Amino acid sequence: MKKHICLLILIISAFSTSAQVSTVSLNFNSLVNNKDILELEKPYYFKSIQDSLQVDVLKFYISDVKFIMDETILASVHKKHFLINFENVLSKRIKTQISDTLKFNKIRFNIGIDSITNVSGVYGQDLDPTNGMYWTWNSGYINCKLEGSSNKFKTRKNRYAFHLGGYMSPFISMQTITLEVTQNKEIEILINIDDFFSNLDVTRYHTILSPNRKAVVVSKHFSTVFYVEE
Amino acid sequence: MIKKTKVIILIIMTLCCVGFSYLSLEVFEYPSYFPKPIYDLVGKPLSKQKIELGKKIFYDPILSADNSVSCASCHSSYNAFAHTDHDLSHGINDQIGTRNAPPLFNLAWQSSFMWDGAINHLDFQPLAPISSPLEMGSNIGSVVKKLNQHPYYPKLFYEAFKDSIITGEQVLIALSQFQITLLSVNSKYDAIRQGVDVFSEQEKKGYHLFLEHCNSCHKEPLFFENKYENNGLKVDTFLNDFGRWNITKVSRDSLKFKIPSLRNLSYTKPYMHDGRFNSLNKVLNHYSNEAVLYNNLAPSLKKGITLSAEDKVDLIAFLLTLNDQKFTLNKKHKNPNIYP
Ligand code: HEC
Ligand code: HEC
Repeated sequence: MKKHICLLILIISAFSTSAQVSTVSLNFNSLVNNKDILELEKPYYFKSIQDSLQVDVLKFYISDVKFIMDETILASVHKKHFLINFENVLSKRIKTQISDTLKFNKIRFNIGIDSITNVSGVYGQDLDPTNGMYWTWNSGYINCKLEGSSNKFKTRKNRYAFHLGGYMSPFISMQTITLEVTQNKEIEILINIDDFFSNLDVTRYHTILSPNRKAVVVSKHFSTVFYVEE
Repeated sequence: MIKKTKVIILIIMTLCCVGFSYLSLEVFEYPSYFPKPIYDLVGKPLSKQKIELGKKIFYDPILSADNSVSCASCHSSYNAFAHTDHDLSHGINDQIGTRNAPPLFNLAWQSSFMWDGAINHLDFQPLAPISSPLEMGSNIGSVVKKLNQHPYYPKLFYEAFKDSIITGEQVLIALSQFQITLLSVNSKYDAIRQGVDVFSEQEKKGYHLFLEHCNSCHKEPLFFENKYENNGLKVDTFLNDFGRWNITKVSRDSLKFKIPSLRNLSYTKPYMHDGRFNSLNKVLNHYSNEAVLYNNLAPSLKKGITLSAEDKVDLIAFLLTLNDQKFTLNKKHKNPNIYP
C-alpha cells in the first residue's frame, strides 16, 4: 500500500513538473540571400554584394541570456557563456528550461565575454582556451571570429579575417542586444551575413586581429545583423 | 667530516619534512608582514596533486612543438627561475626572443605579467610561450592532445582533477598552482623582519639609501609593484621595445616597464627587460648618472639620484640581503624527473 502511494506521488510530481517548465531553444543560423542556410567553406553568390563570398570560420560567444517581458527581466539562463561555433551543429543551439507561467516577449544577450570574466583567470568548457577563442600574447577572449574570402576584398588571397575582442576601455567590444520574439519552444535567431558584408567598408575593414578601434566598430556592426525569424 | 654530513642529512631531512607537511596541508603560508595575495586561492585552492602535476609539466619539453624546450629551459630554479647569462631568452631552433626572461617567485602577489603587463592573470601566461614561434612554437590545443595520448599524464590529471579527459583549463591551473608555490621569503632581509638577524652597519646604511631612492617603486617587502614606470633607460634602437605603450597605445605609457622585484638579484643577472646591464654597479651608475630625461620619466627620478662611490657599495650590500639561497636550492621546486 505504502509503495503504491509513493509511486502515485512520484507520478503526480513528474506530471506536475513537466506541466510547469518546458525547454526553450535558441537556434543560431545564418541565411544566404534570405533562403539558404549558410554552410562553411562553400562559396555563394550574394545578391546584395553582387559577388561571390565564402565564410570559413564563424564562431562567437553568447552570454547572459535573459528572457524579458516589456522591460522586466523574468529569467536568466543559468549557464553564463556559450560558444556558438558554426563548425559544430550542436553548439548552434542553446537549450534552457523555462517555467510555463513566465510570459516573455523579448530576449537579451551579450555577444562576447564581459570584463570581469576576462580578468578572472582560466575557465573550462566553452571558455577553455583550447577553443581557440583566447589571445595568447595579450590577455583576453576573442568575442567573435569571422573569416573567409571574397573577391570583394583586395587583400592577399582575397581573405578577410575579423577576430573581434577587447575588454579594456576604450576598446570594449562586447555588445548587448535585445530582440523581440514571440514566445515559442524554438526561437530562430539569424545572422544576416548579406547585411554584414554589404554595409561594411571592405577597403577599411578586412583584417582585424587585436583589440582596437576598428574592432569596436565592426563588433557594433556585427551586433546589428542579428534578427529573429517570425 | 662525519659530523658535517650528518648535519647536512639532518638539514635535508627537515627540509623535506617541512616541504611535505606544507604540501599535504595545502595551505598557502606567507610571512605576516606580506600583504594579502592577489591570486584567488579561495576559488582555486592549492592541492598537492595539482602542484606536483604542474611541476612535472613545467619541466617537460612536451609543451614545445618539437619536444625540445620546457618552461625550465628559460626559467631555471638555480637562477630564481630566470634565464641567466642570456640578455634575451632563446627558444626552439635556438631562436632569440625579444626580452630577458624574468625570475619567477611570489607570483601570487602579481596582478599582471610580462614586462609590459600584456597578460592579466597567471593562469593565462603559459599560452604566450607555448604559442610563440620564437619560444615553444606550439599551441594549447596540440599540447592537450599530446597529453591526452601520453602514457602517464592522463592518470596524473585524473588524480588531480577527477576528470576523465585532460582540458586546457586543467593544464593552466596545474601550472599556476606549481608557480604559486615558488615563494621567496627566506632572505636575510626576511630574517631581520622576523627578528632573528640584524643588518651589518654597511647594510643598514644601504637600507636607508634604498628607502630614500628606490622604495617608492621597488616597495618592500615584495620589492616590486604592480605598476609600470619609465626609469630612464635609453631605447634600444634595434629592438624598439616601447613597453606598456605596446598594450595601451597611449603616449604617456611609452617606454614604461613593469617594476620588477629586487629579490634574488645575485642569481638573476643580466638586468632590465632587455638584459642590458650585467652588474649591479652598472644599474646604480644608470640611476645616478645616466637616466634619460624623457617627458614621462618617473617624477621620483627626474630630480636625479646622487650616490657617492661609498653609497653605491652600501646600497649593493643591502640589495644582497635580498638574496634567498634557500629558495634557489629548494629541492621541492626542482625537476621531478631528477629529484623524484
Ligand atoms: C624561450 C624562453 C621561454 C620559455 C620556453 C618560457 N618562458 Fe616564461 N618568459 C620568458 C620571457 C622572455 C618572459 C618575459 C616576456 C615579456 O615580457 O614579454 C617570460 C615571462 C614569464 C612570466 C611572467 C613573469 C612576470 O614577472 O611577469 C611567467 C609567469 C612565465 N614566463 C612562465 C613561463 C611558463 C609557465 C613557461 C612554460 C609554459 C614559460 N614561461 C616558458 C621566456 C620563456
Ligand atoms: C620610478 C620607479 C623606480 C625607481 C625609483 C627605481 N626603479 Fe629600479 N626599476 C624600475 C623599473 C620600471 C625597472 C624595469 C625597467 C626595464 O627593465 O625597462 C627597474 C629595474 C631595476 C632593476 C633590474 C631588475 C631586474 O630584474 O632586471 C634593478 C636592479 C633596479 N631597478 C634597482 C633599483 C635601485 C637600486 C633603485 C634605487 C637607486 C631603483 N631601482 C629605483 C623602476 C624604478
